[in-house]
Parts: sequence; C-alpha cells; structure tokens
Amino acid sequence: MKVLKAYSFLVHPAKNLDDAPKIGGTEITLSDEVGVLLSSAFIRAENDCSLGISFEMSQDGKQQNPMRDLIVDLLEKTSIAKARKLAVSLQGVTTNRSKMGLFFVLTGESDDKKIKKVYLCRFPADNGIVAEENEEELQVEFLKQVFMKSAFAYKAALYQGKNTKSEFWEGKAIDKQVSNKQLSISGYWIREFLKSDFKTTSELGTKRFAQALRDTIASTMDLDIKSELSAVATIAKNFNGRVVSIDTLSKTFNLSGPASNALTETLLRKDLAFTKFKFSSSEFSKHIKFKQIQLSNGAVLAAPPGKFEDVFKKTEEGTNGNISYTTTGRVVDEALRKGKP
Amino acid sequence: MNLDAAYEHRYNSFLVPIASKLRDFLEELLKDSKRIDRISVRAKSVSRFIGKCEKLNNDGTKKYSDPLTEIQDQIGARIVCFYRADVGRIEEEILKYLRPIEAKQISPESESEFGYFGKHFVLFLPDEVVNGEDSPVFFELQVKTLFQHAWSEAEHDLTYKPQRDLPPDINRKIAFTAAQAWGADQIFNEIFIQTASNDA
Repeated sequence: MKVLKAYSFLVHPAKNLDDAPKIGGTEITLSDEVGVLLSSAFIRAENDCSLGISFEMSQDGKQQNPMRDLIVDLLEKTSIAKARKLAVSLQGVTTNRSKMGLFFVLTGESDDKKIKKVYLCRFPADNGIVAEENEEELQVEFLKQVFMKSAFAYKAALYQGKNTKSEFWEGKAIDKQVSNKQLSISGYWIREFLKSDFKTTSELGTKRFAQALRDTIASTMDLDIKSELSAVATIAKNFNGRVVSIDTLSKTFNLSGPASNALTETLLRKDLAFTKFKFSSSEFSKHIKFKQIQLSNGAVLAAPPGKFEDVFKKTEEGTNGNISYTTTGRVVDEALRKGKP
Repeated sequence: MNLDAAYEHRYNSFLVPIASKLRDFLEELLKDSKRIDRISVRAKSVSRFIGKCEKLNNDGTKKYSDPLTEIQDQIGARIVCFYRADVGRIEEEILKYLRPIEAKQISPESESEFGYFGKHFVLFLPDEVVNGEDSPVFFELQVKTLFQHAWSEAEHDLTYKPQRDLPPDINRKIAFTAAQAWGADQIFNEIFIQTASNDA
C-alpha cells in the first residue's frame, strides 16, 4: 500500500454556528517528517483500526449516505477541495467539548493499483511543553495547539475497496474514547461525522457471546471450564452499554487459557472473537435465562444467573467434594419433564 | 476466467453454502416469532445472474460494469408472514441484528394499479455465514404476506420469459388477480387486527 495524497486541515468547533470559521488546509509533502509519520500510520491503519463500522442508509431507506458520497467522490478524483468538504463536515459536528482538532485526509492504493484506500484521522489540540537543553541551561517553553497521536481522544477511520459504486459501505475505526467507555463523546466521530454505526449490532454481538457461553458449557465435560463460564454469565449483565469483544470479555473476566480457548472454538469463525460490539444486558438475558447445576445425587438446581447465589446458599460438606445447597420459598409451580430441564 | 465461469465457481463454492447458513441464521433469529409461514433463501442461479448482467440503462449502456460486486441479490431471502400487520414487526426484529443499506416498500406506481407488493431490504450478510474473500457482502431480503408471496410466485412463473410480450387480456387478468390478492390481504389483516383487539 502506498499513500498518493495527504491533506491537513485545522478544524475548529462550529456545531450550530451560523458563521463557521473558514477552513484552508494544505497538502502534505509525503517526503517531509509529517508525511513520513502519516504514511506509517496509513500502512498500520488496518491493524490499528479494529472497530468495524458501516454507513447508515438514508432516512427514506435509499441506498445513499452523504459521508460515503464525499469519500467516493474523493477517491474518484482526489483534490484538496474534495478533502476540504470532509473537513467542513467534521467542523459542522464539532463542539467545544471535542475542542479544535488537526484533521488529516489520506488517499492511497495497493501496489497492484486494484484496491483504493482512504484514511481519515483527527488529532485533538492540547497544550504542551518543549524543553531544550544545552551545556549551560535548560529552556522550557509552553506551546498551545500541540497535536499528539497518542492522545486520549485520537480518532481515525479507514475505508478500502475496489469498486466505488458498490463497495465502501463498511470501514474500520479507532476511537480511544470508545475504548475508555466514553461513548457519548465519541458518538460525534462515528455517528455524527461518519454517519455510521457499529457494523455488528449490539443485539447480534451480545447474542453471539451468549450462545457461545451456552454452547461451550453444554459441550465441555470439564467442570472447571463450566464453572468459570457460568460465573461469567452471572456478572456479564453489569457490562451493559460497554464496547467489548468476546476476546476482551475473556481477558476482563480473567478466564483461564482452556476456558478462553473452549469459548473461541465454539464460534463459527474464530476471528469473530475480536469483533467489537456494544454489550446489551437485555439481549443477554434473552439467551441465558437460567443457571443450572446438577449434583451427584440427581438434584438439578436452576435460577436466573444473577440471582443463583442469592437463591441457593452453598455450603461445602467435608473434604470429599460434597456440597450442600439450601433455599427457602413458597411452591408456585411443579412439573414433570421428559428430559433434564 | 470469464464471467460465467467466475460466477459458477462463486455459486458452487460460496453462494450455495452461504444461502444454507443464512437460512439457518434467520430461522434461529425468528424462532420465537409468531405467524411466520416460511423462510427461504436461495443463491441466484448462473443463468439468472448472467441474464441480469445483460440489463441496460436507458441510454443503452450496461447497467453493471462489475456485476460480481455490483449485483446485490446473489443471495436472496424471503420471509413470508400471515398478515400485513406482521411485516413491521418482522422488520423491526431483523433490523436489531442486521445492518441495512436499503429498505423500500415496493408497490405499483399508480394508486389505480394492482401488481407487485412487498418490503425489500439490502442487508449486510452476518459474519457467521460469510466464508471467504469471494463471498458477497450483501443479500436481498423480501418480507411478504402469504397473498403477496402467492401472487408474485405465480405471476413470475407465468410471465417471466425474456423477449415475450403478453397479450393485453392476459395482462389485465394478471392485474385482476393482483387486485384480488390485495383485497384478500387487506381483509384478512383487518380481521386479524379486530380479533386480536377483541381477544386482548
């Protein structure tokens, strides 16, 4: 992959302003230090941008999205004027809360020229201190308008494909604010600017995770793995609204290697473990309604996962692995079943 | 590899398995949903695909310059439900799990005409069913009532023949059957709504 063109624009907050500041912009010389830094980011973007996103269709259901139109237009004939339209669009959704930012637009192509690529990135403005030292003294200087890629609020998006007519409906993004759970702020980059949403819906990602948990517990003979994953089901509901993947959930819950591997093996495709989505407790509860334990004496105990430990009090009996469960309540139902519930 | 051969390879290696997985996916998704008559998914046959590739724009140019990526119904799914009132509910459920790039209500252009009715979507294929670089990205979903489905299947079987113009009286009879199907659909829907509210 190589960068063909790179442009830079200073984007001021201008949401709901009648008199938005004019945006100038400049083309970046690719052989300069900034150009080299950006080219490196462009090549790494596929690995850095891990959040799958897709453009939303128009309100009237047509196959059209204004941000996609700007990106396709830019790819078909790249110019600073077309790149500036993206910057103007970004300015129109930027508030004082998101602050001023330095916005870069890069276009490129694969070595065989078949795949076209657009990379958008925004560095927020910050303050910094420059220190210069010589043999005799140290000079420090305060700088306004410093832009750093490692900053908390760095954002980027990557789109690539061969056919601008039929492709470029999906892309990948990085949003460090999303990773740090501040969805309401980062909604401005994905929702308002890119006019997109997570490609994997909250319900689909959560359902996939819940089914993987259920299927793994059902298929494994390893009681330790069953117990680990069952514990996950009990506390997972506390993650409502958080951006997760099955992989990050495994790490957050500190699953053992065997448990984590068993979970991934259940997925139809292993790479789905890394797909990000917003966790939905209500969707999770739809697919995991009961936690169930079977004892060696034939007893089967079932209760909703979040309530199991409250409903059944557990006591270890002796050293031979026997466990005693006690519960108190009124009988409200009784059933005869053909198989194990 | 020419287009026929390329599509045939895609059809056998990717589209048929994807269609089967997508059907299972949709059935699982809607397993608790009431009043669904059937869910069917098909891969577009090679002959139909090649036929579609030949379509022209009004100015005589080819509609698809890159049909393998531009034709979005290489996988087509249809959900048939009992009543019109069910279509919105099914749409709402599907869109919780699948991202659309297009959603349109298909109906005759004029209010005095009767013909094809249905709700059509172009959706991203879920990652669960996609299986390789030559997989398509999208599929077309149609949500229809029983009467819309019955009329469209019979009409398609009788009239979809390239280079064949039907005489006016047959076209009129087809429009008549469309009106009858629409009417039956309308009345069953009204009865359903009325009895559902009486039962509530």
